[in-house]
Amino acid sequence: MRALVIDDSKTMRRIVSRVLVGLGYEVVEAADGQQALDAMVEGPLPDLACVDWNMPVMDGLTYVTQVRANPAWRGVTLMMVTTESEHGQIVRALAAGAHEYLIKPFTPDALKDKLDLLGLIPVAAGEPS
Amino acid sequence: MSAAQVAGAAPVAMDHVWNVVEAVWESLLGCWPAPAEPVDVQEDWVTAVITVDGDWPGVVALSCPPPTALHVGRAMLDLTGDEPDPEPDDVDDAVREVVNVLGGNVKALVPGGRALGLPALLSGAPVVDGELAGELFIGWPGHVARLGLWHTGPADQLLPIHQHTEQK
Repeated sequence: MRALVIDDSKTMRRIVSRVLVGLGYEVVEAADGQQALDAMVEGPLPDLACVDWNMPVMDGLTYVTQVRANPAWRGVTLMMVTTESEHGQIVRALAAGAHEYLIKPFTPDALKDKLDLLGLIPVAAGEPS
Repeated sequence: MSAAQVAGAAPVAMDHVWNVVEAVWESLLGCWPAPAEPVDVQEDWVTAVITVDGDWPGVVALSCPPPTALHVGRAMLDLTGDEPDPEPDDVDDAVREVVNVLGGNVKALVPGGRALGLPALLSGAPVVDGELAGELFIGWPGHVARLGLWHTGPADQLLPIHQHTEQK
């Protein structure tokens, strides 16, 4: 499975990517929403995009809106990963088309739980050892 | 807890901010913080600042000595003892991200918090055009940091302590 990790913090991208790679994801990183859109145009499309909210150039909410406006990208699951924790912000993101919402700070297990809810734990990673 | 709170200045108990600090330290740095004795921010300290806009506009600033900033970078990047130190830009990014997460959670605590700025880095103590509302001194093995919360709006907009929790 492929994931796109979008955050203006390289450190946070690495934290999220570390969890996803550990689960077997192939990860591409982007520093803002526009870079992420460019990566999706170039392809291949990700199965999952983890999106920060507050970023320069293009914020996460705009990115989510743009992705949802393109029918060809309907299969991409969008998860906000952000410090924006107010109920109103969560509602805005979900209304714009985000499937899940993870508030920073989070633990690796919290991220895995969200992926599990979305059915996005790769089969090999979910198998009992 | 070693928390200083200016009476009438902060719209939320600094105890609640301390709870945020604990969650951030545990999840991002992999350690549990303890209250530390107050210390002066030195000229060579690294300070990350972020603005909170809304009904109670303010600034959140995290200051720490350079070795602590390096420790933050190593911890967040999950570097083990024999791995080389991260590049200075990566250390800066890590400290900015810590204040970004702190600021976002503080925004959720203050009444009417609407927008979070982008984090910025500077050297030494922050110079903020506003009133210090509260501060925390955060300790963990071998390290210390100071977290400050300033109100940057007009003085007549200062809100009473605990107003946020009383509204619930």
